[in-house]
Amino acid sequence: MTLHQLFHFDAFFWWVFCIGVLEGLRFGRNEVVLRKASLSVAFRVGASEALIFALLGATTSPWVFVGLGALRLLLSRLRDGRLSWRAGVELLLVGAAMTALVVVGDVHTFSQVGARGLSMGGTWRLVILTLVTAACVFAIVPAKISNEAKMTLAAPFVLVAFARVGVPLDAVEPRLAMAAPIIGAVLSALCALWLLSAGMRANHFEPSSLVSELVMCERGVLLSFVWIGLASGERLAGVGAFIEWWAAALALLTLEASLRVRPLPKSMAFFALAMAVGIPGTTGFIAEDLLAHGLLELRPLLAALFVGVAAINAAALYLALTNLIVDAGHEHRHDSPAEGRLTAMMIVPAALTLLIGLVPRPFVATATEAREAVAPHETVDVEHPVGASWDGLPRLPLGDEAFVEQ
Amino acid sequence: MDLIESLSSSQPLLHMLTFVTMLSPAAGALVLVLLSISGVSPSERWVAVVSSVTISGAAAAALMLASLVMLRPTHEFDEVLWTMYQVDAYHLDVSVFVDPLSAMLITLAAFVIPVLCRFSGRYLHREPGYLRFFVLMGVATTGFFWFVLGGSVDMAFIGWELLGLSSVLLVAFFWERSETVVASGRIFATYRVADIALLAGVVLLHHYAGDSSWPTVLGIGRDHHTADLGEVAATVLGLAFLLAAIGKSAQAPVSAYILRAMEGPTPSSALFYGTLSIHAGVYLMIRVEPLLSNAPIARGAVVFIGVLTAVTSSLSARVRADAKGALALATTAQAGLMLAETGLGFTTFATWHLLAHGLLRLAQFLRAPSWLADAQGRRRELGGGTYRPAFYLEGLLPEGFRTWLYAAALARFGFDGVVERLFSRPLAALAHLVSTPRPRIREDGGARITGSVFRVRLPDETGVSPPARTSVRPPAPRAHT
Repeated sequence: MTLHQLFHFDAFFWWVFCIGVLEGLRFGRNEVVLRKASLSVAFRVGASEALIFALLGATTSPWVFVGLGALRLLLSRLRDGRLSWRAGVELLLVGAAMTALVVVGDVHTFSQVGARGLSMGGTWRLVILTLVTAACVFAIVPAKISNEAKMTLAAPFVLVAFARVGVPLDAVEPRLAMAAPIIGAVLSALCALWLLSAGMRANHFEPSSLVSELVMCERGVLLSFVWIGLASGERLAGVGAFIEWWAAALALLTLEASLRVRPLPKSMAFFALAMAVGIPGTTGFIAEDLLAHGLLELRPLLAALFVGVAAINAAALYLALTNLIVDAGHEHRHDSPAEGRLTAMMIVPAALTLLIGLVPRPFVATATEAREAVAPHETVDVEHPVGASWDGLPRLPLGDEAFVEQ
Repeated sequence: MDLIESLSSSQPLLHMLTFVTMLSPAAGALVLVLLSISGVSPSERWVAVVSSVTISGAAAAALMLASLVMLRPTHEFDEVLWTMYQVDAYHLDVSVFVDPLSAMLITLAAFVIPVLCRFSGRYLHREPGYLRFFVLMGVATTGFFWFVLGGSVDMAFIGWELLGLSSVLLVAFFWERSETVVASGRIFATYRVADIALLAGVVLLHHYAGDSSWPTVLGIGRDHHTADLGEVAATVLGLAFLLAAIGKSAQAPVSAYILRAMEGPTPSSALFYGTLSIHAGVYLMIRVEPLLSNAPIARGAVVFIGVLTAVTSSLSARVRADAKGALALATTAQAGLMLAETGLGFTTFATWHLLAHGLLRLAQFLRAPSWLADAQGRRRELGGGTYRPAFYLEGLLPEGFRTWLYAAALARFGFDGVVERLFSRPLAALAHLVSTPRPRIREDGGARITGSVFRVRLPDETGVSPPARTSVRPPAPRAHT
């Protein structure tokens, strides 16, 4: 295969590339602030992170995808001095899924996943989807909170893997296509409750560990939302998932940047909260609107769970933030300014989220194209219909039958 | 007359007035934020000028818009301004809908908000958060006008959220005091539940009716009538909107949060909890009242909640020792009455009640800090005496029951405890179960202090958590060589 065949710079690549750039900036900033590295080192670290993540989005070959994932793991090992076992497990799971895809399904490019998935047999489809789903769960669960600075916030490569593999296979494997969003919803609920617990236990923690727990739990909630939308197979929810991915990247960057500064820049911290919970005028609002509508088309119960988790998440995040402010007030010295200084890492994502939130149309159109790039194009001859309509599937008792017009 | 007719039918003029109303306050807030970020610290005078011009301009434009629309033969203005975004058949439109109901609310806001801006400019003189206050005022004004003028429930939701967020952040205005920050957290949680209930209503409306614009869905328009939604769907929607109204208008059983909201500066208390935000829930129920015609259960619930709040809040207000607290509870009691009126179908009466009440509470809240001085002035005019009414309604009750009622009113009829036991504690217990309890280690000199996190205790009413149990273990003895 030629280089041109191995990498395809479609709308999905550009979507992922921009998220990768944000993540690269974050890694670069952490190098400067936490490790006191020089700008050139920080640039190298950030650029490598962004480049690898972009290539992960561009590659069409499962083998190259796994190779890039391994390269990313190796670079983090060189950077941090030790191997992250968690990243290793994710790579193993995704690697196993890709291997099964290539060996059993005879899939050489991701565009063949949907069509070849049918001929693969139900069991193997289930195995592959289970592996990728397990990798997503593993990546999203907020464990190892102390490693927050070293972990990727909004650019886990498992989400790219799920988008390339899980989304097309979902269309031909309705069993997991129904289970995955429910697993995602439960996961988001767990993360939101964990965040609530962190907020309530705030007086028992030192502030820096609370910030780590807060950021990781919020990451879990937001990435769960992304995963729910991707896994649902529903078009509106899928577009919403892509926008939520961007919203999560911007919100988490701003949250982390603002909460680590002392004195605490309270205005920016509250704005970061607004970004994370999807207040109108921010990117998150558009994402949650599309997700809610899309999930309602799929299952009312799922949509109810989604909005419920969103409410808990908002309350929990605010509680944690208020406790941080109270702590910051106790530590405040009279000779230091009342408000922390705003940095570019706070202002740029905040400005972006406002810009997208206020003029969303081009962004939503791009997200639709990105979703189209990974969703199956061909109409597959299956027992159940493909795409947004799930009319052929059996519905849960809490479906629309109760509301049929008389 | 020809001039008035041509003005009222001029689409470009109406569009321009709509844009100014909906965007001007936000533009002012944005200008202030940009000035602040860029390092320029505008003086109080400039902040007040920018804010006053943009907010007053919006108020004037709103008043003109309402007047012109009322002069139209149909007394309505319904227009889609632009499509925010679209995915396949689903699209979110920015639309405007002006009718007599929204015109009355616009008139109220057009008088109240500029007055409050002017008052705040002097009241908050030399406060550290002066600029922040006016930024949030701009956001609140934008939110309110979007809520009232929005042509669909989606637009109303956008304004509703902006109004709620700005009111919470203004409660936390004096954030150097931990009590205000913690109080704002409780309010935010309540508002968030209300927001989610409204969002659920919006999404369900799209699902069942295919459209959430006010004229189409609520039978105000020509072709569609709410009866087509079916009784179950109408009941679910009605209850969702009622839940949203309960949260926003501080109705029972969550009315206690309004006492915490009094931590904010007096102008924000007057604006949100005297005039605008507290009536937003009532306005929402008035708007969706046609939906209740096919939902008797929801209608009954609206009346029940309204009456319950009116009775309990008015009794609680009478035993409050602080002026703002008494005012706040009295406000919720009146909002409860309005809700009951709406539930019974007397929407026009409820609307006039809302207008009159909003203006009265504005005056009372603004005078609240001077209440003691006012009372002393009245006492002087009475020649040193005090006014005491000769007759109390409670005097008719048996003494034992009167005592019980007094105690119950002081405890706000136990609603806080009910909400805590039904929602807060189970949620907290679930949260504790989910997260792995683990000790936190803090280095403090040579000793290692272990914090115990195995028992989660909820904060008391002041919002302060009980201190952690800590044990100090001495460092391990060193081996002597």
